[in-house]
Amino acid sequence: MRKGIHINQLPYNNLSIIGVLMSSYFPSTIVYSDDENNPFIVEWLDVNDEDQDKYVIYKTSPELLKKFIDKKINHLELINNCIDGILIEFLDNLENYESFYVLGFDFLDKNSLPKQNSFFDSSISSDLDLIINHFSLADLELEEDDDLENLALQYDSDIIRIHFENSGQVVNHGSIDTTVLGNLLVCFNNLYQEVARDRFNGVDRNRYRNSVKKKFIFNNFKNTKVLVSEAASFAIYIKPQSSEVVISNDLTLSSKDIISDIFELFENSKNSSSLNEIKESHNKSVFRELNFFSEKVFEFGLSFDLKFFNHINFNKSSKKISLLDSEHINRNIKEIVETRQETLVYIGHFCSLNIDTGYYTFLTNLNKKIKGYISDFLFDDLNTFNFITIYKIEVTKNSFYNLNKLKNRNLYTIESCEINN
Amino acid sequence: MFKYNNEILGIQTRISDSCTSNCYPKDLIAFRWVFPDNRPDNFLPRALINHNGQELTKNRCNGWSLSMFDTEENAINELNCVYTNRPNIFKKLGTHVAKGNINPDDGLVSPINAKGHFEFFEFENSNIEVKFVTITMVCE
Repeated sequence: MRKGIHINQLPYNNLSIIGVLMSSYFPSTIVYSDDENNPFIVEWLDVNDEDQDKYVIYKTSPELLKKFIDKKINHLELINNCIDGILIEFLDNLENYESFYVLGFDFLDKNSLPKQNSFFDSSISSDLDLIINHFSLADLELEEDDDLENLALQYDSDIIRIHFENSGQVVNHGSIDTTVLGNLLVCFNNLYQEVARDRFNGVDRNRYRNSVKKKFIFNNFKNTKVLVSEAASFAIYIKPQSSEVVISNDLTLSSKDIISDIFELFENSKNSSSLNEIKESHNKSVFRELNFFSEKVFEFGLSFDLKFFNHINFNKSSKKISLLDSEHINRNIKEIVETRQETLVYIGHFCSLNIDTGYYTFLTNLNKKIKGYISDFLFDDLNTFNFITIYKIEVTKNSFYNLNKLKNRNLYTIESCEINN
Repeated sequence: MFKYNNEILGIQTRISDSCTSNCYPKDLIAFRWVFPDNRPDNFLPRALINHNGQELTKNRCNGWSLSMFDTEENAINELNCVYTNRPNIFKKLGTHVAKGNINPDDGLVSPINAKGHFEFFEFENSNIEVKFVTITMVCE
């Protein structure tokens, strides 16, 4: 027995064929228009035992059609979001009135419908331009349909939306590899924390170091929390632990400032000269975390966009980062390497000395341990040094400064060594 | 002269352009989606296969050509892609891949696209179906 309710005529007026959306091998998705320029779609579904072609026709909207063509929704979603939830099955052609049956999406044979991962493929579309032009889809601006405002009201908080995209390997519509998401969220949270720390502790991390009370307030601000993922995409909503905290009369921390700093960091790090200009404006731990995050994004082959919604003034801000941007950020941070040199004098004694290579460690009278190599001039005197005598040494300190590493690498070359009297 | 010459000429007149200006005679091995039982529509152009929207297809150049691929792998991959969008599509397009030789006497070959697909415009006296042998099952 056929499912649905039989009707004797289509409830649509004056349908005219516009073109074949998919595919050029066989017209399985054909677009029609009525005289009010509403789009209708006929989908071929199957052949029955009597060798009759089974189709379904439904009304859609220019917005949904554009979303489908732009791959923002898959084919199943296009069908499922038909206007008024009405689909009409028919056999062979639209003049076959006896075969019209109205039904809902849930009553369609799922085995005949596109699979979840089926998106629009322009390479096998016969009449894409015709369809776009007829419904003026190129000029159509789609409304943003994210949940930022609703979530901000629900949680009385600023909200951050992170949307990931890639070619379908690790990110699909509505799903993402667990490892990928876990890694990315942790890296993003760490970046958020370090940028927040710049504002709280200062770039040199000295401010409020000893203030237990202020640290407690900061610790209730610095993290983010995952709220929900978005249906039919891969986007996730997170909220700051607190949108705003007052540290002192002079310092209020807000998530909008942290996000603004993060957006600026992304933007400036895309370009090596801009990055050079700002490198002293943040602690190295910020660049380290930015490096980790962009490295992971690039490793997983993703592009992403961040949206921020301020729940007080309802302002939105956003930033898009392409796969190439992440590669540039990663490379630019790693390429910031500087070498600094200075001459220093220490008094102390040797702790170890390799007479073959000249490598040493030396403990100064200020209890600082330095290590490096004896210069070539002193090599012949190596076997006269001992571990008891107090020496005065002159060293050349070479510092290798990497923007994405917390500690500089320092090498001390002993240029002269004499007994300290 | 093409096998469906009147239809192709009619389209060319209407669109004031040629269907085959970028097509050339070639020697190549080609692969096509077919049914295994030597049914007549294995080598029928799209315009002659009944379907909703057939009138549209009849007015297109590629309605009167045969869809082919340059390698077996490309033919299988593309059928699997189309299957993702329409699981029953093999009932219209074919369940198997056939392999055959195309010679300059058989017709004109369009440029091959990135998916290895091309259109083949048969000449009037072409008997292309006897040159193809079914080699691989793709769908049951």
